[in-house]
Amino acid sequence: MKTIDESVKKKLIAYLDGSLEHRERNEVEGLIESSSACRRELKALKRTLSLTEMDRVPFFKPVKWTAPSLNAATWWRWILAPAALAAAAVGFFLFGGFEIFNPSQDQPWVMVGTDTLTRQQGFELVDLIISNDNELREGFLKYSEGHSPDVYSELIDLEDKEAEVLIFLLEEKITGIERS
Amino acid sequence: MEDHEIVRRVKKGETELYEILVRRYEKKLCALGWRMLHNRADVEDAVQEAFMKAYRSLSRFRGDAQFSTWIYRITVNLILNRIRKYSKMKEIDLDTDKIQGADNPRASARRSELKLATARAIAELPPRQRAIFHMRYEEGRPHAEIARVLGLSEGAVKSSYHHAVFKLRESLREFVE
Repeated sequence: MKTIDESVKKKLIAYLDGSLEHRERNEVEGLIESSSACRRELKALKRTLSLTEMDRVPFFKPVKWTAPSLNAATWWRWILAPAALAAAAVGFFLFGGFEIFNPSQDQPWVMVGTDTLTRQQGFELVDLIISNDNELREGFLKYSEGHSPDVYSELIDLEDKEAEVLIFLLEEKITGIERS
Repeated sequence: MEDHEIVRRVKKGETELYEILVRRYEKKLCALGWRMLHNRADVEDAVQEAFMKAYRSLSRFRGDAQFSTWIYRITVNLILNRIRKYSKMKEIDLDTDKIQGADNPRASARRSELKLATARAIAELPPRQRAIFHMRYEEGRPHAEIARVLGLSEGAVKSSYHHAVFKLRESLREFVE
């Protein structure tokens, strides 16, 4: 039986996904029309996708939901802030001190939990962390002009101490901008 | 009522309205969780936790993104964290009790075999690819939206989806040729 190479298989997958440009789609359709091996592969891919539908999602019980007070969720942050800043200072030096202020854009910059973030990701997180603090926020926006902050949930995954470390880093950065 | 309107009112104190968002998204998130974890108890815990995290962080949600994108992202990140913590999960915890056939005539046995092979093939994909496969193939979400949920580029999402299908094709070779 004649086989087809991987690049054609990938094109067929993209074809089924509907993610090919017009020209590429025409090219793939030409292949399908002229090659029985392509037609067999296309059929096998369709069958593969339909098989995945056999693994059906089971019934889940509705989520039990009683809304706690939103105010009660945040008051303690203000009480713990001084202690958290102290922890942030310790964390800052644990992360490698001032060396982390001069990374290249794509290099790993700071560890957050089990993730290593690039500088851009780090600043996006900081942006979120300070979203309730206008003064800090304005400073940060000056720095990150043109940057689209769309990583809300990353922040939520941070432990408080990790978040505080990032706040500390940001404050240092803003101070640096003001100085310059 | 639109999501953003509910969020706005919850933030202003009408906290009971949040339950509308819970009911609106719980099934979709459970389906996503199932595809990623394939373990009922873990999925229920993760989805519950995601709703709670989103609720407690509503003050930080400024509405630049859609609530649906946000809650999906929270859920995916929670699940990825769980998978990291229990990295052997996919082999150990794969819930197969619903896959076994009730009786055992030949056709039913073949069907059970197929279902199990499919579940295993999906479980062998990297977790993020499982999420992408689910959102793209099963939910039909645009690449751009999936990219926003996962914080990836659109190209990376397309490529990852294509890889996922390619791997599934290889894993299920004996059943599809």
